[in-house]
Amino acid sequence: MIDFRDILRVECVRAGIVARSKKAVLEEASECLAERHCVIDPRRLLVGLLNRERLGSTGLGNGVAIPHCRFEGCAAPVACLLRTTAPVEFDAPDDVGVDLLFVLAVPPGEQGAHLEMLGALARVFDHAPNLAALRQADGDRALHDALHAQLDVAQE
Amino acid sequence: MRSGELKIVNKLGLHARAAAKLVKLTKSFASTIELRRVDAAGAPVDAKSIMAVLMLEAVPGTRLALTCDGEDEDEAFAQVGALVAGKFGEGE
Repeated sequence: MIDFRDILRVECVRAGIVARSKKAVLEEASECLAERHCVIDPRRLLVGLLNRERLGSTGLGNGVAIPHCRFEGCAAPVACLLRTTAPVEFDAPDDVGVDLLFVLAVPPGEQGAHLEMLGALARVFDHAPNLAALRQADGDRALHDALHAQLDVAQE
Repeated sequence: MRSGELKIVNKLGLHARAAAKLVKLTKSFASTIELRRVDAAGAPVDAKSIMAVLMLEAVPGTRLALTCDGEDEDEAFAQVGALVAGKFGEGE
């Protein structure tokens, strides 16, 4: 079982992001992760995330996206969770704008754990009441606690 | 109805980009298309839902039961099988 509490810390959860484009929100994510993890160069992480999006959107539908890339700067997977104040155009498969983003940087060569993480996130985000709770959570701490509670259930 | 077994053979497994490609293909067919892990007791999942496909957590070597049911089931079965066997076009 993946311990998401090691991967997503409360310092990397932001509930009130103002961003108008995919690039702007990924910039916020890169800076957020770099603030918490000093080994991460935000410009290089941004390039990695944008390159990954060029291969195909990481939007999953229902306003959720999981931008991610391999990043040799980190020794273990690290993530941030952003909620934007308005939906951002993300080329998602259902053409719905995205307001919930779980942004993940993983070390090269962690295939098995990476798929397990994506599976747990998909189980959380496929459940409409979970999305409603994440959108209603009041502040960074509440958003952090809500997602971790949902991930615990998804991994039972 | 057409059914058979597939094996994930690309190096990265059924990761997000491979899942997106698979779903783009399955959605182009009218048939109902489902996948199930052969090694688990779980129910079949909708192969047109990217979330459901990611929930399979199919690492390289995972065997999946594919079922296609509908007017274009033969074509769907052939093309999904070809995409998986062709490593989702990833080359490795």
